[in-house]
Amino acid sequence: MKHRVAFIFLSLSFLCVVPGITLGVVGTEFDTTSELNDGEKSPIKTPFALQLKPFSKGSMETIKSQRKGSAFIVVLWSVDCPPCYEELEMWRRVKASYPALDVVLISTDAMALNDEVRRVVEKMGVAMLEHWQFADAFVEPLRYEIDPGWSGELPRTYFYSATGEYVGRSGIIKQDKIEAWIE
Amino acid sequence: MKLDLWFRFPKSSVHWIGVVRLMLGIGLMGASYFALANSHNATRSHGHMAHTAESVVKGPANIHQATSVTASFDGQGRLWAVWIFGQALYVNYSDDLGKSYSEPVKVNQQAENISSNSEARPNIVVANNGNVYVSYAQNLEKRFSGNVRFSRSIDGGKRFSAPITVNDNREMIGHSFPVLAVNQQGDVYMVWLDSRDKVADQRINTRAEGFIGSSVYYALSDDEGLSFQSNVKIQDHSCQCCRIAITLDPHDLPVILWRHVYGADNRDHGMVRFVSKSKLAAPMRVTDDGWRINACPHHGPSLSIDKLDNYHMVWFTQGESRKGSFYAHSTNQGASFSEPVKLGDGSLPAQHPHVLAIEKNVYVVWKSFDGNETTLYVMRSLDRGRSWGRPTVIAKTANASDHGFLLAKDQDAFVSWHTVDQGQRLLKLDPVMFDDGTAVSTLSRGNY
Repeated sequence: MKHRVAFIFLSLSFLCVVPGITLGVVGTEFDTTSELNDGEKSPIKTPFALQLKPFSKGSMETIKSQRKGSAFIVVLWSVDCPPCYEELEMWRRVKASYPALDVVLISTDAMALNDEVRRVVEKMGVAMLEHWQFADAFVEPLRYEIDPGWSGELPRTYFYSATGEYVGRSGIIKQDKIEAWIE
Repeated sequence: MKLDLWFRFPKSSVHWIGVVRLMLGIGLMGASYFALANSHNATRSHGHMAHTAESVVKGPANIHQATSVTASFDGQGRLWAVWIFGQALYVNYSDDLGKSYSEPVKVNQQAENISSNSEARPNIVVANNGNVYVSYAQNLEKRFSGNVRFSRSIDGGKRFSAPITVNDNREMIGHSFPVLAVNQQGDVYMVWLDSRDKVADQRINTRAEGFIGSSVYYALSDDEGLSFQSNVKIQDHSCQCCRIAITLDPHDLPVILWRHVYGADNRDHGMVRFVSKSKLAAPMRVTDDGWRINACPHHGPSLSIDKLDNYHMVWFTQGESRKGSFYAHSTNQGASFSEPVKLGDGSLPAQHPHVLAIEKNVYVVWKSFDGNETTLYVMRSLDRGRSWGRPTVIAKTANASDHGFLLAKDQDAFVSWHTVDQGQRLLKLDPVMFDDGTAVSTLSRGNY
């Protein structure tokens, strides 16, 4: 009986790890989870390790190509942007209401702030979303790939349709606007 | 749009042992990549209010590998520079227009986390008597908290005093984005963004919308930077993440320009001038672009005032009325402004504009990125901003760069530009550059 309990426990913990690792393999970028996870400091425990993918030249193409034919949302944010915290909190609520919503978060913070980005993501309860972080000090090409017309104001949100067209919006997005878009 | 279109299953059917090995290998590669990137430039930010991470910069302090280099000419034509290297602020100078620089002098002997980015950056001004004054923002442990700091040299930049904290509210809350001005009288003004009123409001108020933005404060030193008088609030509800502009008018008094939040979320610009040494006129709203947004533009305005008291300003907006970077002037101390002139040809965003007026000549610098390179443009007016020549390309870089800043030395205009690839440069704006609109620049490069 004791063995059976242990077996069930092991199976369950294995299942918990699966989504994290699987998502990590889907991306073609480096994964830093093994080196940089600081889950110990997080007040909110997440069921799987947070993936924080380095966003470099070509990453936007990767994000888009993985979603061909599907609608999705890309949100640019930074730990240094006070309204962005409100925005993250909003995405936590929206994701809870619409679990199938595909939201990609990209932090524009310098890689030196990697630990802090990770802490904020976990604290704000949005670790279940896909996360990237700017990985190049030369940020202009990264911004340009996302949108040549964007001047870096944050938060910045892009609504991608299933056919690949996008609409960009700066500032905090109101939840009812997102719900209207979802409908 | 149907919700089921959104759902995406994670791709599965992977071989687990292979996955784990792959992850380990990729993880190590990733870790070494970041170690390299960070050691190259740990404190470089992305143009917003980044707090400085633990520094790992190596080697002797050097202006060309520094961050947030800010330069200023003194009355004798000596170019002074303040910059951040690791956890220290340094000052040095150049007597040959940026070709070579003096040995750097460290300002803070005790290591500090110094705000190092293009908006919240150190400042340097030199008084008539030769005193050198510097300001910077110190980041504290808690995010969005810090102190505005000041130090002076009374021996021509050989040694700097132990930095003092100028904000007299010492809570671990936001005091940042300090800027400095010193007038002919020797009065030193520091202006910064302060969150003490926001924090106080949050303690007593539980209303949903909360206190909007930060507050603009200033402090005056009339004892040559030995001490500062009590902090004075200029106005509540400034934007929290944009550089403040400060300059002196022909009456030898400061005029201040900043991004302000009007109403719930209208991010325009406020301006205030001093009517005497420590008396302010009423703050005015000087832009109305209809940029209703709760966001951090990280894009502060710039102001220059000519000897006839004409105000020249440049700013960035994404408002309903206009989008981009703009120039306008005022002949009545900011009461009204000319029709805004859009910078650039509209094909690429014109970003981080800076303005300088020297007599009748007005210069505006900005940068644009075309997908490969960042280009620094300058345009010039010979008639106090009434008409403008074509924009001229003065420099380019294919790597990270700071904003370009205009500087005056007598009748000559220069642009100070720091780039990762070329280091610190001083670009002289020769009249010939503006005649045919072609890309000519006379740049001086430091020895590095």
